[in-house]
Amino acid sequence: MKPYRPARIVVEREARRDPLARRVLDFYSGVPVEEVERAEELLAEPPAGPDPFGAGKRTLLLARFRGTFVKPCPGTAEMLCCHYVVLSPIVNCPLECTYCVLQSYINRPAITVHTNVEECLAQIDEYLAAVPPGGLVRIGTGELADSLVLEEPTGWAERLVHDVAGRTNAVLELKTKTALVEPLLGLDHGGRTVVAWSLNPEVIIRREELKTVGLEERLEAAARVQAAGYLAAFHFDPLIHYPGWEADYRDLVARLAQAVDSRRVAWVSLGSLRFLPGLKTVIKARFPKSRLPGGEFVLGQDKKLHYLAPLRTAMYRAVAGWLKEWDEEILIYLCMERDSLWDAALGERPPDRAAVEQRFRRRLQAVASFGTTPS
Amino acid sequence: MSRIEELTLGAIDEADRTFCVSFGGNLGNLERSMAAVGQTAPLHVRSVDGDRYQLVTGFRRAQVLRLLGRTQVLGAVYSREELPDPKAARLAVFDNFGVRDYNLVEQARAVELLLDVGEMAEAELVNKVLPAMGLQGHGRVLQRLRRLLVVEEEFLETIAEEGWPARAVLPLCAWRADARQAFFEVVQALRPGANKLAELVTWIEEIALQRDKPIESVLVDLKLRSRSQDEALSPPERLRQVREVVRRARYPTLTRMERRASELVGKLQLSPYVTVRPPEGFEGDAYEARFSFASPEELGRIGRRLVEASDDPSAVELRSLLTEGLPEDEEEEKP
Repeated sequence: MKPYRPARIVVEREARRDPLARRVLDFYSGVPVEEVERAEELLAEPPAGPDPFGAGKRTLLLARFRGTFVKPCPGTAEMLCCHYVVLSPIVNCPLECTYCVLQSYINRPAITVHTNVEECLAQIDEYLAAVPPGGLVRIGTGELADSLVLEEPTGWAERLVHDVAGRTNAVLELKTKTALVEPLLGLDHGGRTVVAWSLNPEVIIRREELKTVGLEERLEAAARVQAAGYLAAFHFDPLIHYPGWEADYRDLVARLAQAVDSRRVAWVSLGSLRFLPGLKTVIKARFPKSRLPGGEFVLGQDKKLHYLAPLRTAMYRAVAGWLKEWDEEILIYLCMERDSLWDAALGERPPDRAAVEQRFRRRLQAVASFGTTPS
Repeated sequence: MSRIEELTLGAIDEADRTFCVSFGGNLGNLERSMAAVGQTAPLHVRSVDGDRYQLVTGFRRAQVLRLLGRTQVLGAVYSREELPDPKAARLAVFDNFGVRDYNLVEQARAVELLLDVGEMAEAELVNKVLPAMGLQGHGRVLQRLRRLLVVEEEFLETIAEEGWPARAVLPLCAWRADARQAFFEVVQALRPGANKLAELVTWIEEIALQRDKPIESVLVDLKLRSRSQDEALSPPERLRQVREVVRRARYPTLTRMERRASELVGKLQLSPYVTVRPPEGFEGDAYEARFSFASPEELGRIGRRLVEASDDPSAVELRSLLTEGLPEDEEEEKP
């Protein structure tokens, strides 16, 4: 995997004083730097050319975040929610997954690294202080960016790992499609950080998850973090439906089973490919070789395109079955899926929010290497 | 500064189309208007060699005046210094903005003129001109719009004539010429509206992705050329048939599920005043049943039959269709 190097760095005047900004500027010394008063100035000059989103990835923006770092995942009204909490230290990503939803959401032509770390940590404090006794919050940084791809220049994950290490009501999840785990290995994580990989068969990785590392590297990296005392987690998300999916995903689970210790797997999620209808046009234009737009999609109640329900049921049921064959105790959940599909695919579902939390808490308690046991 | 002068129409070089954006379209309204009230706005021309003129704006009006047999024309005359090429290109494009909408081919020609002669930066075109034309301000649209001009002339004429919009036509610019030509023969015969054309283009592209085949093979596989020219059917029936064939190929499982749901509802033998529909795309947990009745007795009959139907195996299968889909033996269908 080729390390990311921006073509230019734009830094907000105010952010330039922040230690994280200085660290990034030092790391990328030699890259042209421009200073702006406010990040919004970038919006005024979107890159020209046929692919402004792709072009925007070559600009790294260092800016203070003036909004809320910590936000509960909005979920979807009609779907069973897993009550995840999203943290956004970095927004946008140098990796190029054809299906990336950020292509629909992000209008700032840059990868933004937020530099006000202390404010972020204070917001985490505040958020967790309001959690009822016995509650457990899963916080993740992998929603709006890959959690590790910019770790070396930014050190964001390290700060968060340290911050969460001493807490009793939170677990940090770092989600990645890279093998860049080196900076994590020596950290004192207190058993409160889960390092997670999004998994797909090699054929999908090569065709649809561009600039990421291959399956073997992901699995080797997962084994390394397990050896360093971390829990691992895996996301079969997005599951892609294509001729031959069944054999490929069965093989994927088999390779996973060979590579990592199931007793130190915190959880596994399953989610089928879904996206806002407008993304299909973007995928066709940016990635003409992607086969994803040819999938048999229908508009769901959440206004996103989903594979037909029976196709989703079949994929969830099959993958969950293989995972259970590997280890009956593994915690499997569906991401953004309606009750009837939970029932059809997994044969059961948590009835409410409390039950969702309880499942995660119990699993974490049960996993052998989990450090500080959550109350 | 220009001077308004009465010029001899024959002194304007008809063959010089450097600044011409107009393409196709009906001149009938303009002709009726000019026949009734004459020329109300001057053409913009540049003087060449003293007594000859290069037309910058007003190509359609000049054409109509010739058709009407007029020999004199009102012109705003500039020298080349007063109206250099870049300025002239912008004048040519923007003069018409407030008067009429450009068709898609004219939009492509306007963009080309602004870039090549108008020396306009791509960013300005994308961010200002495209949105002003009602197009998405995106570099990709600009790229495809420019490619449109290399599309076969006959196709361009149809695009202009039918007024087909960008969303339906621009994807075709990325197709291979033989695929486009084959598809053109189909749409020439069907003359679909903009929405149906856009739908067909999208579905065919996605079938090609699904089957990992070139678009031209998909057109052959689906026999679209012969279906579009089936003389046993009326033109609307032909369009309906082609649309149905393409949809079935694009959504093979969905269309089989729709058909199965319809058969199962039929097996329930409900009153003709009852309709049962699956959720859109089978994306939901409930069917919708609607009924109408004219008397309490009729309501009773409908209700009794609905209760009886609830025990019917078809009702059970209808329910499982939503999550499980078709039974395995019904999943495959001959191509």
